[in-house]
This record gives sequence, C-alpha cells and structure tokens, in this order.
Amino acid sequence: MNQPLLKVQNLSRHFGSGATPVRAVDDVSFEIAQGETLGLVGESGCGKTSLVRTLLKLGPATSGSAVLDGVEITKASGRELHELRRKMQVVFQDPYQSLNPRMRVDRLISEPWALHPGAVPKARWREETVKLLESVGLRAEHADRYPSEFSGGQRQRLGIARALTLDPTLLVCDEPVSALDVSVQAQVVNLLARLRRERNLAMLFVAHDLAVVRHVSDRVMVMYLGKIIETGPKQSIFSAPAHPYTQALMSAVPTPDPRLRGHRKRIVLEGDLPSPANPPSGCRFRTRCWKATSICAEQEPGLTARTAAPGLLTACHHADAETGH
Amino acid sequence: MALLEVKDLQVSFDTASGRIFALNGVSFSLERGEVLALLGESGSGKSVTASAIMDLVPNPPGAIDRGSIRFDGAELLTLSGNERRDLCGSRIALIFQDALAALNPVYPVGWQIAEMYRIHGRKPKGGVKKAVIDLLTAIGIPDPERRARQYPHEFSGGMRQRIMIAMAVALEPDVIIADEPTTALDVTIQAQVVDLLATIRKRGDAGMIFITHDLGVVAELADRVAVMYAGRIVETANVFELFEDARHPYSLGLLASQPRVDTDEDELVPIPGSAPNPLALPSGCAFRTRCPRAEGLCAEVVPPLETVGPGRQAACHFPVSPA
Amino acid sequence: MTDTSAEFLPARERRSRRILWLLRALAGDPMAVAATIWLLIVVLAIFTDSLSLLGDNRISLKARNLPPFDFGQSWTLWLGADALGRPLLVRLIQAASTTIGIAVVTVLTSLIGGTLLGVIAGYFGGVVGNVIMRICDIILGFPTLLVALFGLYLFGPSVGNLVIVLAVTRMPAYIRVARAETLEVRERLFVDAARAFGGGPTWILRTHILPSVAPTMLTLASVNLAMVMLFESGLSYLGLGIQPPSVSWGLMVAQGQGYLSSAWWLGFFPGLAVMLTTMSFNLLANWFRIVNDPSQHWRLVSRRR
Repeated sequence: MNQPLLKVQNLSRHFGSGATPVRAVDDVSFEIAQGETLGLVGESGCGKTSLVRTLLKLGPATSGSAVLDGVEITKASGRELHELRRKMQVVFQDPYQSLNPRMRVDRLISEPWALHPGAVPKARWREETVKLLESVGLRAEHADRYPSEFSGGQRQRLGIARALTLDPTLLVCDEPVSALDVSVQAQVVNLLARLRRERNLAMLFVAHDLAVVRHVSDRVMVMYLGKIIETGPKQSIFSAPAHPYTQALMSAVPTPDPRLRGHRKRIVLEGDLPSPANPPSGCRFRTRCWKATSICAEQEPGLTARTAAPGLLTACHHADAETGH
Repeated sequence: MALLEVKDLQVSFDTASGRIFALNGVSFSLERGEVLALLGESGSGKSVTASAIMDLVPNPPGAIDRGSIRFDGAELLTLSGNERRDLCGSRIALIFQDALAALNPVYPVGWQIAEMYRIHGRKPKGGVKKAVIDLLTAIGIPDPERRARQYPHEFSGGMRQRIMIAMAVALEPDVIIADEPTTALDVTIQAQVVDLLATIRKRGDAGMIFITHDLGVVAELADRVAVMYAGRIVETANVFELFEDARHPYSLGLLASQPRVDTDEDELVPIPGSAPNPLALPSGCAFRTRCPRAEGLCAEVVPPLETVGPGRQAACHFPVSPA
Repeated sequence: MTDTSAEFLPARERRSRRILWLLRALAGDPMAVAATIWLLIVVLAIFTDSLSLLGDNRISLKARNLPPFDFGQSWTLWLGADALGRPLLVRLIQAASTTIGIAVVTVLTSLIGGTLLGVIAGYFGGVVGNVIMRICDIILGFPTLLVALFGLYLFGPSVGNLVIVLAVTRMPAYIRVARAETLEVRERLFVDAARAFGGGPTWILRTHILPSVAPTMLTLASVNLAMVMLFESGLSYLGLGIQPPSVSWGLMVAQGQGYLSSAWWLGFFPGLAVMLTTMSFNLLANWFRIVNDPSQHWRLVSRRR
C-alpha cells in the first residue's frame, strides 16, 4: 500500500461540554487506500454514525485530523470544502428518508451538478442522468418519476446513482442495505461491488450486519463505545479475532445452518452497552468482558499487532491469553 | 389434534386505491411444544397472520373474509368479543417487535406485568408482587425488586424486549406468537433474546409461532418453517429440510441471497426484481415475475400447496427436484 | 437487472402536460371544483368592476330597502337595494375588489415575510432566531384587534395602514409555523444529503426547505384569508378600516346590522359572500396541499374510480 487515499489520525468527536462530554468518537485512527473497501462494524451507540458524519463534515471534529487526497477535512471550508465534497460521497441508510419526496428523479440526480457548475454542462444533464440510471440498473423513463413511486431497493439504487454523480474517489456507505429485504439486499450489495470494480472506488462500508461486511470488505474495523478495538484484514478478523468483543460479536451472529445449532461455541455477553458519557475506566469493554482483570480497569489497552494473524491489531491486554469461557 | 390450526385464511384491507389481499388462503398448524417459524420479507403477510390470530386486524379497513382459526378444538373466528379477549393474553400471547411502543410509558414495568394477572383475574400463588419479581428474575433482569418500579424508558432495548417476553409468558399461555422480537436489536442483544426464547420453550409445552425475516434466527430456533410470499405460504418443511433441500424457487433464492459470516462467497445470487405491488399481483403464481423456473402455466394457474415429501409441502408447478 | 413490479402509478407527465394533469387532479375533488367556480365568479366580479362595466349605481329613493328576488326589476336589483336605494348586487361586486384585494395583499405580505423570517429562525437558530421569536412573543402578547386598533388610531385609517397593521399582527403565526416545520425538515436525511453534495444554506433553504414548508404555509394562508377578511370588517365597523364611500363586504355587514329586523338582506348577502369565499379558499388550499405532495397523489387519482 503506498499513499493512502484517506488518512484519519486521532479523530475525536465529543458532544456536549463540561466535565463529562459524550465521547461518541474517541481518538480514532485508520487509513483507506485507493480502491479499497474498509468495513466498519459495531452495535448501535458505538459511534459509527458520528464518525461518518464527522468524515463527511456534516458535524465538526473535536480534535484530530482526517486527510483525503492531501486535503484536511476537519479544517476545510469555503471553496476547498466545496471541492472536497466532489471527491467524497455518501449512500445513506434509509432510502425513504434520504431522497426529497418533492423532487423528481431527474432533479434529484442533477442536484449535485447544479451545485458544482463545471462538473457536467447543463445541456448534457439529461443524457448523463440516463447513463447513471442505467448503470445502477434503472431505466431512462424512471427519470420522470417521484421517489414515492419506487420500491425500497430501487430507491437505494437512486441513492447510489446520486452518490456517483460527481465521480467521487471515496464512497461512504452508511448502513446502505440494512433497511432492505434479504433478496433485494443482495442486489444492492452486488451493485456496489460492481461499481467499485468499474470505478476503482474506495469505500468505507458501515454496517451492523457482519455477514454483509464480510462479503464486501477488504479490511474490517470493529468499534466499541467510540474506540476502534480491533482492525485487520478481513480473513484475520473473521477467522481469528483476538479481541473478546469481536469474538462475542462473531459468535452472536446466527448462522443460517440448523446443523450448527448447539454445536457452535456461543459467547453471550452479559448486560448492555455502558453510557458513552461515562465509559468504564481503562478498557471500555471490561464491564462485559469475561477475561477482565485488574489491569483492564487501570490501563487503557492500545492497538497492538498480533503475531497469530497477519495484519491484525487488537486493543486488549489479554488478547494472547487462551480463550476461556 | 393440532394445538392451533389455521385454514384457508383470507384477510383483506380496503385502501383508497383498491382492495389489498394481505392473506390469500393461508393454512398451517402448530403442535404443542413446537416452534414454527413464519419466514417472509416485508409485505408477505406474516405479521397480518399474527394479527388475525390475536384479533388485532383493524376493522375497517381490514376484514377477515374467510377461513378458520381453531385453537384447542374451538373456532376462534366465531367466538364473541369477550371470549376472544379472555383467550388472548392468557392462552395465546403475543410478543411485539417494538417493545418501546408496546409498553405504556407512564406506568412502571412491574405494574404492567402485574396488569396481566389483573386483567384475567388470576391470583398467582404468593401474590402478584412475588409472581412479577419471579418472572423478572427468570428472564434475567438483575435487581428485580428495584427494576420493577422503573419505567420503560429506563431500560435498554434488549431489556424492554425481555419485559415484553415476561408479560407474554406471565400467564403460561399455550401459544406464544413472537412477531420479529429480535429485529430491532443489536446482534449481541439479539443472541441474549434468542437464548431466552429457547429457554422459555424448554420450560413448558407451549407452541411458538416465530415471525421473522432472518434466516439465521430461524436456523437457531425453529423446528418447522413456513415460507410466505405475497400473502401465501409457498413452502413448509422442517428446518433441516428447508436449509438443505428447499423445493420452492423462492426459498432457494432467499438462501442464496443471504451472505454468511462464517464463509467467503464469490458473489451473492439475489432474487431479481422486487416484491410485487399488492394492488396488482401477477396472475397465477405471484412469484413468477422473479422466478427463474417460471413457464407459461405459472401465469395461468395459482399453484396449490401440495405435499412434496413426508411432512412437507410446496406451492410450485415446477418445484426444485430433491437434492 | 430491471424492476418492473414497482410501477404503481402511471409515469408523471412532463412539464408541458402539467396543466392538463392539474385539471385532471382538480376533477378528482368535487369540492375543489365548486370552490373554483365560486372564486371564478368573484374574479369575474372584480374584473367587471375594474372595467366599469356596471351600470346603474345611483341613489334612488324609490328603491329604498327594496327586498330581494323581485325579478320584475332590472337585474341589478335582484338582490334588493340598501337604505339609500343603491342596488345591492352592484354594491357587492364593487365591494368584492376592495375586500379580496385587501385580504390578498395582507395575507401575501404576512405569508412571505413570516415564512422567510420563520425559516431563517428555524434553520439558523442562534441569536437571530431568538430575536425573531421574542418579537413574535411580544406581538402575540397583545390581542390582535387591540394592536390593530392602536396602530390604526396612531397612523390614521387608510387602506395602506390597514394592510400593514393586519399583516404585522398576523405574521407571528406564520413565523411560528414556518420555524417549527423548518426545525423538522432540517433534520431530514435528504437535507444532510444535499449538504454532503456541497449545498450551502441558501441552496438548502431554496431547494429543500422552502418547497417542503410551502404547502403548510399556503394552507395556513388560506385559513388566514378568512380571518383577515373578518378583521377588516370588524375594523371597518369600528370606523378604523375602509372609509365610506369606499365599500367592502365587512363594511356592508356593519352597515346592514342596524336593519337586520327590517331588511335582513343588507347584512345577509355580504356575509354570505364572505363565507363562500373563505370556504372556497380553504377547500382549494386542501386540494393544493395534496397536489403538492407526490406521496398523496393517489388520493386524487383514486377518488375518481
């Protein structure tokens, strides 16, 4: 991997001020290379949405930096920010909410071009709209309809088409398939995979569905209470996770194979997510962790390399210890 | 005799743009001690089936046009309102998907569980209060005495779903209907709730109808599966047969489009198109527009649910041959 | 891969055929048709009046308090005549332009001003928003009629002052509604999407927030048209609104009040005109709201079946 496309360093996003701000994103660092897909998994409340919003500059960063193609996102403003938006686009979770119901498809698709004069000359809008619609599996006549006339899967295709209007290099997908039915979800996953190949897109793929993340990602990050607790190549993370939380997460996913029922080692975590306003001292996972010892309460573990699996970084004091449960 | 037997159930809704048939002749049965999964995507009619059994179909605009629901030998659809209400909650219980919406925000949860006893005039041994505390302990809520006095918003999503489950099993019903009880929950919490449901089913001999779109949860929990599509049951089979040897092209399509967390697949095989418009269902088999095996006959004749093997049925003119 | 099953509705016509579609949508709502017909009559009345197509409007002592429906008389006297023998129908037509004119100008002023201020207060919040909202609170703290009375007393009764005073006193309602709607729309995902594409505040306000807020505001405006017409009559009655010899429906009701027992038609017909007009505005507003919300279009199409 040479120069990364996106380089995030020590990025934090805190809400509220005073003694106990909610640390939605806390000191997060990662990179995405050109054409690479990085999966981000975590349960609700782990801060993945805040991270996405900060990267997209829909909310300010509290500290840290995020550099996309040489431009500092957290500090960009005015002209620079406007140009930055062209390189970085987003597919939102809810296809029913992310399209303005009062705008016809042709206007929805051409909105980014209206905002970035020079991207596509106005005379070619119609032609380009049709091209885009066809590239996401819709048809030319769909341009004259309103979002309410489409099914959920089709709307998400529209959302993807819009995200591609400015030919971005980084596509942030915020739970793009979790609102869709299984049979349609596969269509959209395949579409994203194809577009990524054709356009050499880098993707940050955020989802809570581990199976989908495994399918689309090259590398995966696991987030818990605002921290990245484990990251590494897909193979390492899924076949040899070292962090207890990742292990629990993997084992909790129900496998569509009834033969495995009762034979699989299931780690059922106790309790709920602690409040991000008042996270546990030391390791944030220790309150639900079966390996926790006194050191976990005192010292916060940093991301360190594992020898067992190549490329795996784990933030756990006991990652190398035998998995006893 | 089956514990619960639904036969040829048809439910329709009047909408401004026409009549929608949410259920088009649904038949299935549930035995004691069995977990039957109703598997389907949005709009397939799986939740309407639960509403029909619980007498929760809003009328108007909805109506049960024909069919029968027999519970423990008695026909539910001809019972009076009072008799029906007596059964619901005490002998047939429903676990809602959205626990936050189903719990009343202005009463403590202990009060709401106790309400189940009060409504049905039951006097549990040792008093209502003890019964509530015992229930909360049984469903794994720590410090039950204190938690019983708290309000729904003071609980996490997983905890609320546990409380819904406690309310449902409070009167030890014969049939438990769980309507997507894990859909809104995170995986680790979902695992807790699935485990709890598995424990509950081992406790008594209640039959459970588990409504879901999640193949994984079905594989974890169900004994038998009924796959629904566009208001019809298209296949029933025991859970092993379904996952290894599905006969209906839709069931197969669902299995192929589901990515797995424990293996890498090259490419998913989605079902093309999207669920049909309920106002304009395709003629004949509703799945034919998305089906790779469809032929001329499929457009003309609705395939009936026919026996394709011991204890299993499929509604397809050209079922997939046995593996 | 293409989806064919979700084509629930016929493809929407392109812009050139938009008017045709609007007419079809109007036909789907009989109440809106009735309202349109009445409003067309009113517009026609204003038109004939402004072109001075009307004949006889002289004082005629012979026709003093002539009762209506005497079809032996000239058509101008079919609705009777007032205490000075002026034909009521002609007076009603003349009053229409004043009444509707004042109401429309007033409502437009408060609609435009209120919506802009409300949307700004809602979208930006902060100091600007607070200042706008506190001014609203102050205006709302006094009874509308009292503020209007005070204003007109201070600046003198004239049509211009009447419009300004009524527009300002009604504006807080628009501001509040526009602000509340904006606060809701602002949080919608499609606004985030527009921001992610690089849309600035002006763009988002113009393309996303204003069109989303507009139907509600127009509905509010149509309800207010009725209210403003009533306020205007009240003020005219008190001698602070329209001054004779100008005439408005409100003034006519006021003038006819004294004759209610002897000549009921003097107050009745202008009152009826006010009622029909305000009702028509309300009905059309409702239709308009549906037409402007693509997700509600089915209401218009289906009702014809």
